[in-house]
Amino acid sequence: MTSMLQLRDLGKSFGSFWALRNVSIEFKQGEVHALVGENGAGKSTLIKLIAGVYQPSEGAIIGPLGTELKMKTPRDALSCGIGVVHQELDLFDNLTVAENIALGIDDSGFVKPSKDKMAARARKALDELQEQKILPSMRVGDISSSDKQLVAVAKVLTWDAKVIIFDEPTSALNAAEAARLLERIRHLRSVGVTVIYVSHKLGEIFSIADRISVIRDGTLITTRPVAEFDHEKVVDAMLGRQPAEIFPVQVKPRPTKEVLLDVADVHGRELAGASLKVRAGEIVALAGLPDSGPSSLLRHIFGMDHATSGTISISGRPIGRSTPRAAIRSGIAYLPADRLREGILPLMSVLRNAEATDEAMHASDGSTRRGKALAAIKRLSVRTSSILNRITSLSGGNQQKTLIARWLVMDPKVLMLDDPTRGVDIGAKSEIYHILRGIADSGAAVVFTSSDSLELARLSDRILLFRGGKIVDEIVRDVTHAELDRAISAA
Amino acid sequence: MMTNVATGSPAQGGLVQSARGLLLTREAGVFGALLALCIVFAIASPVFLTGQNILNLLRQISLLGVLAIGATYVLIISEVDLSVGSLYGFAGMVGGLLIVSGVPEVAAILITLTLGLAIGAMNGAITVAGRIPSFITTLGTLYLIRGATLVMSNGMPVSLPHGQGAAPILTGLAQGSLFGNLSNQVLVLIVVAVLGFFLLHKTTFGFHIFAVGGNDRAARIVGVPVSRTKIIAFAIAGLLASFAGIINFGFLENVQPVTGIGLELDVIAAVIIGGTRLGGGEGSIPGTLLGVLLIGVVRNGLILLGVTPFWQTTLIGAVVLTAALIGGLTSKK
Ligand SMILES: Nc1ncnc2c1ncn2[C@@H]1O[C@H](COP(=O)(O)OP(=O)(O)OP(=O)(O)O)[C@@H](O)[C@H]1O
Ligand SMILES: [Mg+2]
Repeated sequence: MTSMLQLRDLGKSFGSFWALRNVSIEFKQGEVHALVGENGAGKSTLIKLIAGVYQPSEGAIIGPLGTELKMKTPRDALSCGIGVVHQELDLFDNLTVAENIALGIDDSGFVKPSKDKMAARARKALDELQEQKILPSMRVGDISSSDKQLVAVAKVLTWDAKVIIFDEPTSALNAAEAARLLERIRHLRSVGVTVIYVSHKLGEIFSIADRISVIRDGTLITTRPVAEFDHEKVVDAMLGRQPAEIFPVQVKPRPTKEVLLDVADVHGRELAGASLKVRAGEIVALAGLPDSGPSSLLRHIFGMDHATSGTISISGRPIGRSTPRAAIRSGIAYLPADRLREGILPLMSVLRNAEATDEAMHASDGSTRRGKALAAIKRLSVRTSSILNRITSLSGGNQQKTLIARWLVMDPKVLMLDDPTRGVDIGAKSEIYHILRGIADSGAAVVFTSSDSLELARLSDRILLFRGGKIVDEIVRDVTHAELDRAISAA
Repeated sequence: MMTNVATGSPAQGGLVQSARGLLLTREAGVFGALLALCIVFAIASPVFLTGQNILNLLRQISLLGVLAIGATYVLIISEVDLSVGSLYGFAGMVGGLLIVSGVPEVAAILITLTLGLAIGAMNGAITVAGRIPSFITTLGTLYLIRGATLVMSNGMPVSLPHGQGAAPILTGLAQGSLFGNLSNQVLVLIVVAVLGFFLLHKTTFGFHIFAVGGNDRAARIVGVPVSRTKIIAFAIAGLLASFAGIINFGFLENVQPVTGIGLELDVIAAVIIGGTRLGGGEGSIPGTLLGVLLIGVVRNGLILLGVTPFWQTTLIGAVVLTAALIGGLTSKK
C-alpha cells in the first residue's frame, strides 16, 4: 500500500516543554489508523501539526509523492488533501448549518455562494451521515452539542480530502449516532481515504481501526496492526501500567438514607413532568436521547433554566425560582457538558480555575482555599507542567479534570455532572469513577448523564430513563450497556 | 420568551425557523418603533410629514448613514472604531486645505480618500499585529488624528473662496439635487448602502466578516484570512468616514478644526439601534439604515416641537438603551 503521509521525527515544543518529540508514523492509503494515549499525551498536538494549525519545531511531514509538505495554515493542509474534525469544535453559532459547511471550502470566489447551493451541499453531507433531523437552515447556536459534532463531521466529509482526521468525533454522540459515523468511516476506507482516528473509546477503536499507534508523554510507544492488540495491551501501552479495576465495586441495594434532592413534576424547557428523588450516598444515572430531558433537568435544578411548574427541593427545602449562586449556596454542584463555553475560564490559570467557585462564593479564606484547590488538583492528577499555566494550554481531558476539581473544593451535597468524562482517557475516567463513588460514600448524592452507556450502567446504583421530558422507567438491576443502548433508543 | 421555546427544541425545524426569523423581527422592531415615533410627531407637528421636512430629514442623516455603514463592518467583527469622528473632521480639513491651496479638485478628493483608507487600514493593522483591543487603538488614533487636524489648520477654520465655483464636484455632490428636491447627499447614501449591502451580505468577504465576528479562532482554523478581513473592515470604515467628511466640507463650504468631535458615538449608537450586536457576529445594512433613520427622526421631530438640544440628547440616550435592552432580552440565554 502506498504511503499517504509520513511523519519523520516530528516534534513540537511550547516554550521549553515538548508536547511531542521524535514521532515517526506512516499513514497508508485506505487505512483507518487509530491514535490512542492518555489525556495530554500529545494526540491533538500531533493532529494540529498535520492540519497546519501548528508548525513543527523539528522533523518533517512527507506527502504521498515523497516531498515535504510545508503547511503554514489550515487552508494549506486542505489543499494538500487533509481535512480535520477538531476536538474543540470549530463551528460558528451565529451562522446556519449550511453556511458553516460552506465556509472554508465554498468561499473562494468573490461572490458568496447562493443559499440554495450551500443548502444543497449541506443536505448532501448530512444525508451521507443519514442525518435527517438537522436542517441546513438551522442556526448552529440553536442545535444541541451532539448535532454540532455531526455538523462538524459533515462539513469535513464535503471536502473530498484524501486524509481525514477525526479528533474524538464521538465524544458527544449517542450510540446510534456514533454507529452511523463509524459506518461512514468504513465507507471512506473502502474508497481509499486514509482515516486518522483519535478516541478514548477503545470499543470504537477495536471495531474500526486497522492499525493503532500508542502515544505516551509525547513519544510514540508503538505502531502495530490491531490484531496484535487486545484491550488490556492497549491500556498497558497507554498508561505504562494496568489501571486498578476501572469501575468501583457496585453494592446493591444501597442502604436508604435521607432524600437530598427531590424533583416533583417539573415542567420547563425540554421537560414535561419530570419527577425523581435522590438519596444521600447514591449515584443516579439519567439516561435518554440528548433532547429527552436529562441534561435539561440538571440545568433546571442548578437554576440556569426555570421550571414553568413543579417543585425542586434540596434537603426538603423548595428552591423556588433559583439562580446558580443560590443553588451553589444550598449545596448543589453542576458540571456542564459544554466545557469550552460554560466550564473553563480561559484567561486564568489551572489553579485559579480550580479555586474559582470557592472564590466567587467567598466560601473559605485564601489559604484554606488554596490548600483545598491544590489537594483537589492532585487528587484528580491533572497533568500540566505548572498549575500556574493557563487552563487553555491543557489537553481537553485535563481541563475537564480541573473543572471537577473546582467542585471537589466546594464539598457539595448534591453533585450533578453532565457527561463528566467526555474526552477523558481511560485511566483518568477510572480515577473519576472512584472519586465520584468516594463522594457518594461520604454522604453526598451524585446525579449524572453520559453519552457512554457503559458508564451509565456500571457507575450508577440505579438508572432513570427519560423519554419526551419525563422519566419513563427506572432500572435498578444490573444491565449490560448494550441492553441499555437498546432501551435508550427505544425510549 | 419566544426564543426560549425555539432554542428548546432544535429538532423541530419550524421553531428554529422562527428563531432565524428573530433577526428579521429585530429589524421589524426598529421599524415599528420608527413608525410609532413618526405617528407621534406627525400628530404633534403639522410640519413633520411635509415633503420639505422629509427631504430635509433625509439629507440630515445621509452622512451619518455613510459613516454608520462603515461602522457596521467593524462592529460585526466584534471591534469598534472610535476614530471615525476625528477622521471625518480630518478629511474635511485635508480636502479643504488642498483645494484652497490650488490642488485640482479631483486630485484633492483622491488624496483625501486614500488617506482615509490608509488610516482605517492602519487602525486595523495596529489592532491585529499589536494584539491591542481596537477600543484602545482607535482611542489613540482618535487623539492623533484630531491633533493632526489642529496642527494642520493651526486651529483655524478653512473656507472655500466664495462664488468662484472652486470645488464643483464636492459642492455638486453635497448641495445639488439630481432628482427634484432630493439632495444628492441622499443619493450618495443610497449608492453607498447598496454597495455596502452587496459587499456584506452577498460576497465571500462579507461571509468572512460574519465568521470572524462569530468565532475568530475557529475562523482561522477553517482557513478564513482573519487578519486581512479585519484590516479591510477598518479600511472600509476609514474610507467612508473620510468620504463623509469631505462631502460635509462641500456642503458647508468650510470646515472647523473641531468638526466631527463626538460623532463616533452617534455612529455607534445608530448601528447598535439598528440591531448589530456589540459582541459581533450579527448585524445588517438595512438594520443600520433604520437605526440612522430613527436617530434622524428623533432629532428632527424634537426640533419641530421646539425641544431644546439638551433634551434631544437625553432622548437619544433613552433610545439606545431601549434598543440594547430589546436586543439583550430577545437574544437567547
Ligand atoms: N498551546 C499550548 N501551550 C502550552 N502547552 C500546550 C499547548 N497545547 C498543548 N499543550 C500541552 O501539550 C500536551 C499535549 O496536549 P494535547 O492536547 O496534544 O493532548 P491530547 O493527547 O490531545 O489529550 P486529550 O486526550 O486530553 O485531548 C499537554 O500537556 C498540553 O498541556
Ligand atoms: Mg486532544
